[in-house]
Amino acid sequence: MTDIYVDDVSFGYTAAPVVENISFGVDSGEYVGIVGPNGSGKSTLLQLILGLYEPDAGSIELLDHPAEAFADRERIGYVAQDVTENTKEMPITVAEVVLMGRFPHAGFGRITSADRERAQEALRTVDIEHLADRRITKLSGGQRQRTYIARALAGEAELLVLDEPTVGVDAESVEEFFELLDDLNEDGMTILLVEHDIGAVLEHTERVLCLNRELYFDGPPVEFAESDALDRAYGTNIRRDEEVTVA
Amino acid sequence: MSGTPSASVGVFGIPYDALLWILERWSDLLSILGEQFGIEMLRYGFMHRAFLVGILIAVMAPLIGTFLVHRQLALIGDALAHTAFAGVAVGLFVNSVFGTGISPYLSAVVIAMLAALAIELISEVTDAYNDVSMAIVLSTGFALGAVLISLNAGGLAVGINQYLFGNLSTVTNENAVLLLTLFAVIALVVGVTYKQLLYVTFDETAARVAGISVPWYNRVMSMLTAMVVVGAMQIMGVILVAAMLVVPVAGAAQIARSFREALLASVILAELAVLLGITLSFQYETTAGGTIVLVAVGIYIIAVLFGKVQSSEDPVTETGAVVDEQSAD
Repeated sequence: MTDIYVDDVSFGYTAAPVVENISFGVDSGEYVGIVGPNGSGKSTLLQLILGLYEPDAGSIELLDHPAEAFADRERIGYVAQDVTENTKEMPITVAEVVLMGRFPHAGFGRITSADRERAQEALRTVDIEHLADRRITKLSGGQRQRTYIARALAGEAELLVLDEPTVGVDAESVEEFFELLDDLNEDGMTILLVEHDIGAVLEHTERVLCLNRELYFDGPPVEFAESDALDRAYGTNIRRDEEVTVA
Repeated sequence: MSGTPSASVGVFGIPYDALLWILERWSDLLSILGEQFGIEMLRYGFMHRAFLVGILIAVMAPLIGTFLVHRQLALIGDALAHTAFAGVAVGLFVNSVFGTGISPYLSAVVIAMLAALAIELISEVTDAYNDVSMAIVLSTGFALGAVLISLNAGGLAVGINQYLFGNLSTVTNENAVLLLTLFAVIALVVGVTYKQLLYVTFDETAARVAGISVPWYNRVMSMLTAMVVVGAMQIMGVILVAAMLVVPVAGAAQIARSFREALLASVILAELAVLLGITLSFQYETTAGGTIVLVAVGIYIIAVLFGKVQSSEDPVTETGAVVDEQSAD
């Protein structure tokens, strides 16, 4: 089954295209990483896939529905860069954030005890049950990102979309975070990950897309590491040795 | 003072009578309390209404304010209060020109809600809330109000102080009923859309991914803000009304851990400020809005100090997370 199907998509906020002629598909259960330089259109591509923008040309299908008209929102989990930058002072607990995963299920109805149990279970899965009553602003970056994963799990998401989730997270927690993603993928979760750390993508994903407005590479990490796609996408003047930590 | 149901509220029909009945029972209750305990200020009908209005404001202002403050939209209350002032001026102007009896608060609700929609549309078109557009709306509203009032001059300008600074003694039955109505609408809407409002407040992008129409809820929120502002304007005045949306909420954020706790705490702090403020205002014959805000700020300072003590004593914060945070830096 194809979870995501992107067909010849182009899009720009203004006349200048941010992404151009992109085509690829993601099968159910796949773990796909998207890499590319800053401003290469990675986040924009994710937002197109999530149906937040409509492509100027081409089409996107999300879980067999046109992305912009996709209604079963609880089937998608979304984890962005740490949002608490913008909501520093907001008093809200980990449990309250995770329970938001049940909101699309509940609609205007009441949150039931079954919903709370789901949320509790999700907290257990990502191993932060002991932090449930903690204010989210008191957590470390890594713990916060686990909270957002738990929110997706509470919603029973089948597809997890992550946009640079490890920005501002310390190295040790990053490693644990990727291990968690590996576990979830093994249990059948489809994962689409935009990540600036190319080394982590090569190590953990099973397929790499390299993007800089156009798609430069689509294939297994080993082939990507051997190809010249990185140089072409990033331009040759970058210090590649620092970017790639895994041979 | 007692206020007759004018054409403007006549449309409410039976609900108006029902709300009036609630108002009378409330008045009876406070009269009995006043006699039993020998509380002088409860001998006056206008104080009964002032307390009712105050108590309702102290629920709805922080309720809406909590959502606004945590989206860094505190200024929107100020902007809408100033456009509500224009609404008051429009009402007074129309009344004096056409000899009608429209409650200026009713015209204020209408104008403020239109302004709320305008602010939303501007921010959707320009893709951002910004201080400048908010400041433009704010000053336009106030300027329009000032010009309309000066056009009419004379007797009109004399009564304008009560709108600028609020007044306990001018809360009529009609105004109290208007406030009860606004309160019911706000409580109902927030009750039904609480989850969506919370999601949008916490994380707008994730809310969109979850299928919540963010622009729609933004519009709902600013319309509710317009209602609160006009409701609270009666005793707070245009200039200080926004404080009720912000100060108790800021205090609550210092001591609460969860969002629900924060909502509850902000209402409690606001009730304290309003009840104490109205009482002091009566005793010392000071302006109600100013007194309430000063008490609210005093309570805020106590909350900040309490929050500091609480977090330094809280053993929870000294484990896991804090260590992680330090290693992250």
